[in-house]
Amino acid sequence: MITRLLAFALMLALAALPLRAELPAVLVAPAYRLVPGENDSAWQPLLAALKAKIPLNASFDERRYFPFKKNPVVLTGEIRLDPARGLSLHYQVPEERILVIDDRGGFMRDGKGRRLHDLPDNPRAQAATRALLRVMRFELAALAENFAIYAARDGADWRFTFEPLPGPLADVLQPITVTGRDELVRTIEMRKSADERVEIQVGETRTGVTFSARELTRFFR
Amino acid sequence: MEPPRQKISARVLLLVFAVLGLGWLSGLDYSRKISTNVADLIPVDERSPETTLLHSLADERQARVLLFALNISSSSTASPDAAASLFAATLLKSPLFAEAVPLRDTASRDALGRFIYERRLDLLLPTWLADRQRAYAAAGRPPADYSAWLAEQTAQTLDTFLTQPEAAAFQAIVKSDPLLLVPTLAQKSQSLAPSASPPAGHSLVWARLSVSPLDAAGQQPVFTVIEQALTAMRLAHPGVTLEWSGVNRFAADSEHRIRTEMSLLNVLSLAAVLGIALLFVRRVWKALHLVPVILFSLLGGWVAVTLCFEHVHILVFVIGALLAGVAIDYGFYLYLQPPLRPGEPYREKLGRLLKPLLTSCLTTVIGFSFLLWSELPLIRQLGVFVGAGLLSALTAAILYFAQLDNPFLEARVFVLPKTSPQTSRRLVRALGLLALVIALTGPWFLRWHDDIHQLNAPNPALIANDERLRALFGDTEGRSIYITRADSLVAARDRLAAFQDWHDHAFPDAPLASLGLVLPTEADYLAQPARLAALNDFEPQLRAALERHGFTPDSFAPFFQAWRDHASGLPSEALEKEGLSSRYASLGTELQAALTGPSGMLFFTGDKQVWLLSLADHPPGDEPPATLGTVGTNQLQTLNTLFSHYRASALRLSLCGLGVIGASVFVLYGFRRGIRIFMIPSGACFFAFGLLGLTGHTLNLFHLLGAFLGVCLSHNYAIFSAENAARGEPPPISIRLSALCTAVSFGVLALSHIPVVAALGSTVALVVLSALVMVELEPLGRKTQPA
Repeated sequence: MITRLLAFALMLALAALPLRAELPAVLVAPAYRLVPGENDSAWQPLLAALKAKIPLNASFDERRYFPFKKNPVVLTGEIRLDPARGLSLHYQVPEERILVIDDRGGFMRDGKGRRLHDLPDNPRAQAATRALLRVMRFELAALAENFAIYAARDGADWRFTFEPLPGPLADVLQPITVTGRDELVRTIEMRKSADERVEIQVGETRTGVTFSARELTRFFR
Repeated sequence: MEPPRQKISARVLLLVFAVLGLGWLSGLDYSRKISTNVADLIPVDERSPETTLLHSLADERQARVLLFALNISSSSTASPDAAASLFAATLLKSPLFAEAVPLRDTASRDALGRFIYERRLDLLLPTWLADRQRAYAAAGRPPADYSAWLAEQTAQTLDTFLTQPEAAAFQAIVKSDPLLLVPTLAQKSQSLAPSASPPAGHSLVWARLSVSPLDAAGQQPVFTVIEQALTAMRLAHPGVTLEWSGVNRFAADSEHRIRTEMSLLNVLSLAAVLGIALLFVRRVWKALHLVPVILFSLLGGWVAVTLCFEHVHILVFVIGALLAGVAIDYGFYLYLQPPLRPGEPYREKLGRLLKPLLTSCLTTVIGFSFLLWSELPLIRQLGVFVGAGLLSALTAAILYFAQLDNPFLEARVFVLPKTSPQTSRRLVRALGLLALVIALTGPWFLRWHDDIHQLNAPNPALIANDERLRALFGDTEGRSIYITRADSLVAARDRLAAFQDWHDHAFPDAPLASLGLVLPTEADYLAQPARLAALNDFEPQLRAALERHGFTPDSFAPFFQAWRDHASGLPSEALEKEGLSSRYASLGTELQAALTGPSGMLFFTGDKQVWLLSLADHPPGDEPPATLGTVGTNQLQTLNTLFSHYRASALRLSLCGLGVIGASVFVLYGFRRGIRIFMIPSGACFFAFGLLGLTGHTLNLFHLLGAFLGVCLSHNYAIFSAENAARGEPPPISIRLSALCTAVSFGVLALSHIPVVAALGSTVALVVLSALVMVELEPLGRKTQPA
C-alpha cells in the first residue's frame, strides 16, 4: 500500500514538472529578445514595481566557481541599493569588505572603513561593475547599449538574461542572468563558463527602507 | 675753484668706470643671466637632499607636466573623450610637447600591465623569494623543510586570497600566477593609478613639455600652442571650455609680477627720497648731484654681481635696487659738510672726512663680505651686490664731488622746541629705559618660521586654479608622496628598499606604493639562482599543497611550465655576477621604457640621476632620516627645515661680520668711543627685534638679513655722529637725511607682495629709524650737551 502511494506521488511529481518548467532552460533565443522601447511594454509594470522597491536591503550568499578549484568559494553579506547612492555589497564572511558601486565608479573598503582600492577610471575597468549596478536598478535602456536582453516569465517567476553584444567591451563583460519572483530578485548569476561563474542568492529582502546617516556614510561614497 | 687737473682726472676716471661697466652690462644675455626660478635661490650642490631634489625637480620631468581639464556643457552633444583625444593630438603636433594623453586613454597603462605580467618572474619573483626566505629564517625552522613550507604557504595564501571579493578581478591570471605576484603588486599599487572620476562633462588631458617651463621657450610659445589647440578643438566641439595649470603659468606670472613690482617700488622709492630731499635741502636742484653717485653705485653692484655669478636671481636686483638708500649716505656726508673756512679746497675737506667715510664704508663692506660664505646663493649675491655697490658709491662720491666747484649742499636746520637740559635729559633717559626694556624682553617672544613660498609672489587665482585641477586629477589631501633619488638604478632601488623598511615601521597601516618596487633590488636579483636551486622539489610539493587546499593542480600547468623555463633560463650562480648584473640593468631599462604618460613620472632617469616616487595613504608625518636619500614632497613644499638651517648659518655669519666691524671700530676709535659707536647699531637692532617680538610678528631669514643690513647702516651713523661728538658738535644733518632716505626707501619695500622682500624692507627701516632716534637723542641724555 505504501509502495503504491509512493509510486502515485512520484507520478504526480513527474507530471507536474512541465508545469514548473515554463521558464526556458536557455533564454538566449530570438523569441525571448526584449528591446527597450520596442517590445517591452508588457514588462513595464514589473520593471516599475522592481524599481519601486528601491531603496532595499537584503542578505546574500555569493558562490564563486573557479576553474582551478573543486568547490565554490562562499561569501556572505548584505546588499544595499539606493537610487541615488548606488549599490553597496557588504561582505561579512569570511572577511569583512564593502564594495561600493555608483555612477562615479567603484571602490572597496575594509571592515574598519578604510578605503582599500578604487576601480580605475576607465570604461573597460568599470564596465562589469557598472553593468551590475544597472542590472540591480533594471535600467534596461542603458544596459541595451552593451547587452542583448532576453526575458521570460512564468506566473510570478521571471528571468532576465543580459548577453554582451559584440563591441569594445565584449571581452570584459559576462552574461548576467537575474531571476526573481514577484517584485523581488532571487538570484544573480555572472557566467563566463560552467566552471567559472559567480552565483548570488538573494535572501531576506527589506524594501523601501530608509538608510540612516551612519549607514549612508559607512556603506556608500 | 678746484684745480683743473683734479677735475679732469676725476672725470676721466668716472668716464672709464662708466664705459667699462656699461660695456660689460650691454654684452650680457639677460634671459640667461637673470633667473626668476625659485630653485635658483638655493644651492646646486647643497648637502641636504631636499635641496638637490627641488633643484633637479624644477628642471626635470615633474616641472614639465601640464594638466588640462576640458569641460563640455551638458547641452552639447560632443563627447568629452573625443574632445580630449583631439586636443591631445593637436598639442602633440607641436615639438614643444613631448607627451599628451587623455587620462582615460588606458593604452599606456594596459601596455605597462602587459609588460609586468609577461615579465612577472623576472621582475617580481626575486623579491617574493627574498621575502619568503626572510620570513622562514625568522621562524627559526630547519632549512631542509623550507621548500615544503613555502609550498604550503603558497597554497594557503591563494586559498585566502580567493575569499576576498576583489579576487574575482584576477581569476583569469591566477592559473599562471598562483604565487599572486601580479595581484599582490596590483593591490599594493592601487594608489598609483589615477582613480578619481572627473565630474560629468569633464575630460582630462595630461601633457609633458619637451622644454623647460622656466625658460622663455616653455612659456609664451606654449601658451600659443594651447590656444591654437583650443581653437582647433572648438571647431569640432563648440562650447568646450578649458582649464589648465602648469609650472610655466606660475613662472610667467611670477616674472611679470616681480617686474611690475620692481618698477613700482623703484618709482615709489625715488619719489620718497626726493620728498625727503625737498624737505631738508634748500636748493633741491643741487641735490641732483647725488644722482650720479647712486647710479655709479648701482652700476658697480650690477657689474660685480653679474661678473661673479653665472645666474643671478631677480630678487637680488629687486632688493639691491634699494641700494640707492644706502649709497646716498656717502654723497650726503661729503656734500652736506660745510667748508671749515671760505674757499677750503676739496682735497682738504676730503682729508678730514676720509677717516669716518672709509671706516663706515669698509667696515660695512667687510660685514657684507661675510655673507659670501653663506650657502644660499641669494645671500652671497646680495653680499657681492651691496659690498661692490657701497665701494662704488664711496669712490664715485669722492671722484664726482672732486670735479665740482664748491661741492656743498646747504641743508635746512630744524630746531627742536627748547626745553631745559634736565627735562630733556629725564625724557631721554625715560625713553632709553623703555627702549632697554623692549630690547631685552621682546626678543624672547620672537617666533621664527621659514617657508620657500615666501620667496615668491604667489598669485592666489593661479593657486586656486592649480588646486582645482589637481583635485580633478585625483590629488587628494591626506596622501604622502616621497621621492627617492640616487646616482644609479642599483643605488636608488637599495635606498627605496631601506626607505620602505623605515616606512613600514613608521606607518604600519599605510603600505607604500611605488613603481620602483616592481623592480627587485640587485642583491635579490643576484641571489635568485641560488634561491631557486634550493627549491628543486617545489613543484611537486606545491602540487600536493594545492590538492590539499581543494585546488586542481593540473589547472596550474601554465605556471609550472613558466617556473621551469624561468629557472632553467637563469644563469647559474657560478655565472659571473657581471652577467646577472647586466641582465638586471637591462631589466631596469626595459621597465623604464614601459613607463610612459603619467606613469613615467613615478620612475625615471634624468640629469644622470634615478628618481623613484612613492605614495602612501596617510597624511604627512614623520620625515625619513636623511641617510635614506628620500624626501617627502611636503618637505619640498616649504623647505622650512632647510631654511631654518640657512637662517642659523646666516646668523653665524652676521655675528662674525658684526664682530669684525665692532673690533675694527675699537681699534680705530679706542674703547670708550668704540663702545658708544657699537652700542647704537646693536641697540637699534635689539630694539627692533624686541618690538617685533612684543607685537607678535613671526620672523624669517630675511628679517635677519634686514637686521644685518640695518646694523651696518646705523653703524655709519654712529661713526659720523661720533666724529662730530668728538668736536663737541651735534650729529651732522647728513645722518638725518641719510637715515630718513634709507628708511623711506626700505619702508617702500615693506609694501612688496613678496613676503621676504617686505620682511627685509620693514626690518631695515625699523632698525635705521631706531638708530636715528638714538643718534639724535643720545647727546640730549648727556650731562654736557653739544653746542
